[in-house]
Amino acid sequence: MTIKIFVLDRKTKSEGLNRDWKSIVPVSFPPIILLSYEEYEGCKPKPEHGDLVIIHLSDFLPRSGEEKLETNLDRSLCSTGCLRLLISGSGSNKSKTSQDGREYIRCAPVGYPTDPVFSSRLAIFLAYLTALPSGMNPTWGLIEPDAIPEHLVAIYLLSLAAEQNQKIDFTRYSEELEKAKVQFKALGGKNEAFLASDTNSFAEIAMRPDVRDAIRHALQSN
Amino acid sequence: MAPIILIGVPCTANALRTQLRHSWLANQILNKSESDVVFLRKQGSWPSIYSEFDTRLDDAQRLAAMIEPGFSPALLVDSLSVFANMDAQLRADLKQAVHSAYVAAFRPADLLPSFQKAVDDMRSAINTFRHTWDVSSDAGDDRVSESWSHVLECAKVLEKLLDSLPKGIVLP
Repeated sequence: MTIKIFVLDRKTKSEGLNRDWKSIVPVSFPPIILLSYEEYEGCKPKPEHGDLVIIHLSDFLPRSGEEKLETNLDRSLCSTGCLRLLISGSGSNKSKTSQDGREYIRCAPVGYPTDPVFSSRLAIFLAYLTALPSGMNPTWGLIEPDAIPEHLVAIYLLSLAAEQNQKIDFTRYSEELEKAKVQFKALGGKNEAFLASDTNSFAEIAMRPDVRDAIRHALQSN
Repeated sequence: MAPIILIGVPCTANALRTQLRHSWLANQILNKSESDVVFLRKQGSWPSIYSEFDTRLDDAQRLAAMIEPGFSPALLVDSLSVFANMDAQLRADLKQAVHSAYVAAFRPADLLPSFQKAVDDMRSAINTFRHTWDVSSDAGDDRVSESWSHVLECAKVLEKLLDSLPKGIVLP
């Protein structure tokens, strides 16, 4: 049997759902599927997905208009028969009960809400604990955590410093420059001057506006 | 050129921004209308306004102090493995240079006055609300409601400013 970990959060993509989760869940955690409430409505679990552990993050006091959506979600989750892990969100300071009478697991004692960093990590950890003893092999969702292209960022910082009139000895960074170029190409970068540069020519190349723009464009696409 | 925001890189300032924006303002203050608060008062207590709100205000003050350094690419010089063996002087020079480029491009000092004012206004509004909560008689619902309304106004201003901060380390 396989499981997928779903995170349901009331925020939508336009409010930075992916961004907020990616910025606070450590990159070492497995990828997770992020769905806003609205998106989940079109993505109900199906039998071929296997048994599912669903983490349902919920605020105690939903904003007006969301209460009905949350109730419907609860009802649809109950009807799938899948294994559910219900977590009260970081803002919850009271207990909450689902449609079938299960109490949401609180991330903190009553009266003391926690912060999203703690609650999100705890939620993922509890999903592990729930899945593993039952013999399920977790398989991971569609979203890979972003790894920053370290060498390309480092080379960019060095070029910034060179632009600030700092004397940078780029010959010391030949390996890093080569790795930066690999990362640049992987991100779709196509600037030939940069790709053809070596540590002797890079000091001059790094100052060229077209090269700086190309590196920036590649980093923005990450 | 618009700055690049490195999302996914650990950034203490952004974690603090997130906690204030979501855990506190969105989930504890802005989700409560005036009538919700009057209802809470009739139920007897709301411990958070004494225990947690001061901590959050102090966090907001800490974030104000972090607005310039907390999103600076100088932080990357210490965290990127590429620079792990860089000598101390060169490291300091590099940090200063990239930080200068960031300050010139992002101008964090421009945000600070309005952010500080928002934090001060929020603190004042909460103090007034707490006083009203404590001293109002059972017939003082209007006063509680009015003071909470002011808290909500200040919270919306602070929320907007928190949204305007970077969501990670800035690359100019």
